[in-house]
Amino acid sequence: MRRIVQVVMLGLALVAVRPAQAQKAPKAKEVETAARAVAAELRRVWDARDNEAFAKCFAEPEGLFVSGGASYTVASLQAQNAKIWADRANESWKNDAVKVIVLGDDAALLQITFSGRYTLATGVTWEFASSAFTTVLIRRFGGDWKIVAYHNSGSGKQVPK
Amino acid sequence: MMPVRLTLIACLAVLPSGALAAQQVSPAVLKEIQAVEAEWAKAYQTHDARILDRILGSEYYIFSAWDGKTYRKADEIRDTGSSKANYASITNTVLDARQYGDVVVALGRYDEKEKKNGKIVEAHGTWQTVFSKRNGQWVAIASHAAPVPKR
Repeated sequence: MRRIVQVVMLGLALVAVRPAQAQKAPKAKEVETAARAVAAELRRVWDARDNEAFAKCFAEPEGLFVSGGASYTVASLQAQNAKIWADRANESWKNDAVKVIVLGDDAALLQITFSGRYTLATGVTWEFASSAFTTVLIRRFGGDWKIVAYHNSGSGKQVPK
Repeated sequence: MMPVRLTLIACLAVLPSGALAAQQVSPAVLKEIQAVEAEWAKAYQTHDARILDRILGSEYYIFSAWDGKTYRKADEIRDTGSSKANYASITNTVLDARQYGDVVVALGRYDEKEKKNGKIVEAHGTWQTVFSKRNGQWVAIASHAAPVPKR
């Protein structure tokens, strides 16, 4: 009798708990995977100096986009990118940490810490040791994940010659 | 509140469906966010860490381009509670905000006046904070702050 009760209780517990867990856990994992893909794409487009692909990461031309303490549209971010790339003889970056906060099935927050260095055409080198940051809020639009808010900044040190 | 951007509305009209579209926050929500930001400034100015404990989510994490460091909620509470800074004023001003369901992203300006050696030292910055509505209250879950670039 006791065994039957245990089996029935276990069955009830499975029926009550499993559907909710089965729906929730994989969805959060999917969102996190999508968010990490956005972080990887941002790194890729920057390293490839691909301004067109950079713009495609964003959902709208005028969101809340900040870089270095100043506000931008996607178009003015692209113009800034072009100027930065023209000024730099070479640069090398890597993402040190990508933190994802899943905010729901259609939203996530990405906090990217990255490091690297660049050398200007003038020969001056700046180094950022895990002190450059990007924060982005992404949303799902149909099957695509796009950036709706973006903040990029860094605190680097000039490398003595 | 900044005027509604017509270009944004036109753009959103052609975005594929499947997610909540961005909305300028309603005046009521903007007021709530501004109230949280005012409390935040008060916490810094009066070194009242209890306010931060209330308005920051447990996962709160801030990137600070002021010093190139990251801080968690516990760091903010510890640093604010132990601060000896003598502020004449601290103001957080919400410049723009967008709402995505239970998430609000706010962009704002930080203005600080600190009394140091008989002088007033000013500091100005920008911040972007993501808020999530929990138990009827807006709590900050992430921020990114940077000094205003010198012109």
